[in-house]
Amino acid sequence: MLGGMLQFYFMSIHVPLVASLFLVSLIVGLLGYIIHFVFIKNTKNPTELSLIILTIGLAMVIRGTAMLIFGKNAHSVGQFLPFESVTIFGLTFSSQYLVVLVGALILAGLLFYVLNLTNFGKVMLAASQNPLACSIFGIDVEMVKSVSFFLSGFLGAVGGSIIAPISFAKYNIGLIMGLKGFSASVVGGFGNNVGAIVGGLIIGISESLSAGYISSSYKDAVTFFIMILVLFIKPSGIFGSKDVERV
Amino acid sequence: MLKVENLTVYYGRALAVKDVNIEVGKGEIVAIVGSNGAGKTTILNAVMGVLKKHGRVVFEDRDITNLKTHEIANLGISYLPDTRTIFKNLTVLDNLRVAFYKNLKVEGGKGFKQKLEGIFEHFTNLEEKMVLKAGFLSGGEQQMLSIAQSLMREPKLVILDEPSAGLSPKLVKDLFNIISFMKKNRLTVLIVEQNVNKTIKIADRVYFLKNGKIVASGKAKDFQDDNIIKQAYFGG
Repeated sequence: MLGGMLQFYFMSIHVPLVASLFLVSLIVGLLGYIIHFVFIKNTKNPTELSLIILTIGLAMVIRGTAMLIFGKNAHSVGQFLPFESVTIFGLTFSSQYLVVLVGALILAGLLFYVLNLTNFGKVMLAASQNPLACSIFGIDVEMVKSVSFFLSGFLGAVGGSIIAPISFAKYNIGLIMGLKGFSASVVGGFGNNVGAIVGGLIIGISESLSAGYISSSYKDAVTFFIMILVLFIKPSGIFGSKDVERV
Repeated sequence: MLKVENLTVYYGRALAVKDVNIEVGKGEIVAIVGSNGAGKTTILNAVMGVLKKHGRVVFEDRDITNLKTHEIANLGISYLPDTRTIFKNLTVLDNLRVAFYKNLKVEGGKGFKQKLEGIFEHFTNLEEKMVLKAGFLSGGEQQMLSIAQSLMREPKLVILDEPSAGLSPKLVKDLFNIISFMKKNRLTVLIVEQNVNKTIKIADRVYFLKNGKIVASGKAKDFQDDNIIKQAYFGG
């Protein structure tokens, strides 16, 4: 939501596209960093549940603040490419869809590189599994968490910015997008990069097919139906696996 | 090298450790022995900044009482807690890489490779399973991996919390061989163990802990008689 709203704001004051994308990602990334530094880090005796409630509360505050600043109306964000549509293999679609596809591939590649091929990425994975052990090895786990929050804000903002020309920018758009993202993770399997992409594709294609063949009124319901179905059949998701444990 | 002065730790209102004083000299192997619930692990966790404490902890003439765990570790202290330090979803190699992460910034990949070769001389089975996820290792191998991780960092002081717990007799033998190797290399070790006889054999000095208090201490060789150990444990 913030990515789309800020993209709308910067484009409305005629900031060049690349500069506005950079600024939006940086601002939202920094907000993620600040949220960790001020709220998450200082929570006393944090549990998963208390942190989930805290972040939901913070999301509501951010949404309310965005509504006060930008209003309740949906804002139109201009397309990123100079041409309206593209035709590939006889299929014509909005050029922004191409931007979304390429952007998503670049972000997924970037995330894969950071997490799997850099030492810091491995430290991030290690800190999520056993934070005490990381501290014992001299790693400042709070710093690692702060960087994770920055990265999640940064990536979310890029995603929000590039999808805004398709979805419009509105103060409450993040809620349904977040829920669909969550569904995609559940379907693909939490903690699995490939699973997240495949889950997203399954959710997206099912939504479009149901909108075409049944009714667009049901497309959101289809998303959650698929998620519930996966939870019944394979709770760990398509690519998910239980934690590695030898008994 | 390490001085623990009047250490007192509470869990909520319950007193776990009271007025404990421990000293570890450079190159020494010092053991803390005691039965379950005596407060051994609590002392180590408090020294490493995992638990809140009263009293004072000094390492190499520097007061480390209020430092965070990672700051204490970066002074050159390796700690092997009883919960193990492995990352089950990372490979054995990545587990060692994460343990070496702070040194990696200074020594680079070449330093890591050299260190790795040294480690694999003592932990040959880990070399064979380098690309396997740590969660697939047996309990004993996981413990060995934890010890290898703590040695990756070239520590000045190694703190071991019941390293032999849950290991087969063969692995216990290997483990004490590694500790003897540490002793030969003048590495300073503070060890907590329930395996009293084996520990006393390799230790220079020993502290007996009972109900959160030190009840006896002295040179390890003075405690090699079973009756003296019994007396230290049960009084009399």
